[in-house]
Amino acid sequence: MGLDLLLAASGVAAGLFGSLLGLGGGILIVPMLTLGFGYPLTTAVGVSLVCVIATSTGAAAHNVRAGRADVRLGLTLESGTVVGAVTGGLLAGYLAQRLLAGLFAALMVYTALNMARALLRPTADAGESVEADVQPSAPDGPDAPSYRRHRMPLALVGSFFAGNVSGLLGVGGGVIKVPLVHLVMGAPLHIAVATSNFIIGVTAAAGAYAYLFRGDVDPAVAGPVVLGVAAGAVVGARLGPRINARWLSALFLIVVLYVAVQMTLRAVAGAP
Amino acid sequence: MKRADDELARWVSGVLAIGTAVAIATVALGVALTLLLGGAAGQTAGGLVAQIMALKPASIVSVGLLLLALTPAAELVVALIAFARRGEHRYTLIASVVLSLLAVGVVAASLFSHGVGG
Repeated sequence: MGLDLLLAASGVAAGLFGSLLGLGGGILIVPMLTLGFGYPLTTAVGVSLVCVIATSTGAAAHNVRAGRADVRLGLTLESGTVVGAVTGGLLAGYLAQRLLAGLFAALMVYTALNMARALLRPTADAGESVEADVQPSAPDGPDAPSYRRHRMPLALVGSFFAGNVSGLLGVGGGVIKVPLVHLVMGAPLHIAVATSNFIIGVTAAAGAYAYLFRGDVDPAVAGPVVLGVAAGAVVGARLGPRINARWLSALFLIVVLYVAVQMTLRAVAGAP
Repeated sequence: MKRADDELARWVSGVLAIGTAVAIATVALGVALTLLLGGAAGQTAGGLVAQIMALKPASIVSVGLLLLALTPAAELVVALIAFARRGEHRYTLIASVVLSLLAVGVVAASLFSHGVGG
């Protein structure tokens, strides 16, 4: 009972902060379950992937209905992310925990650098109003957004990489997909965020199957965490507009760096 | 930003919302029953199929997790049908490819699931 409550509370925290920071929550769930509760990394990754599906599908339902996510672009990029996630999920069962910890530490450092760059930027998104007439739900043709096929081969390679990271490390991979759709393909940021979120559900599911069938997802652990994450994400979506995201990002940056150090120590020392 | 009121958006968002809600409700039922019955009710071993076949309250949690993992696949099925009805052959094909890749993932996961793990 006590452990269930602690797991659920951790899920609420991950879902809440993930939602406020625009992350799937996986980057918080994996270290919580490994460093906080002592579960093996493969168990943490499996549970995290299931949680990421929950947060992604919940938000994607809203984004697709509101016309913010580009379903056509999302589907196209999913052909890359799914291959990456399936191979990542299968590969994780054969890789040493130390190597996985090292890769996770590298992902945390990359995330920290991305967040630091966003924090140092003077304004959040100055170009949004210029692109307000872009229609991500328009079919191919004269009204189709110009970014949809821009640099597609490069975007597909990046999608494979993002899917692989997701399947191996239990994160949604939004930290790779958002820059890919926004900076490489040229989509406005809010469309890139919504489309990335749409892709994450299918990607995380593709990776999760390997963990589910292998028995890495213990229902006694996953149940309370999934419920907590779902509740936290709902609260985070409501609180979002009232919270100062810059202060929150600065706080999160410290947490990310701390986890990166802990995961590096785990990779070097070979903790279970 | 205009609302996307077409069939594609309604179908895809509907499946995602219903799938997530049903899966989360199933997980909640399983967790509640496990807490009420205590101890051994939450213990299952093996892969997903063995967890479900154990027929314990924790098996209901596993069914909920499976429903959650299948929701994106259901979304792909309705997207495929919606694109086919609209005559958008390019995206009908892409949705079929992604769905097939997901199916390959499930088969590969069940084939490679024995004797491996963390």
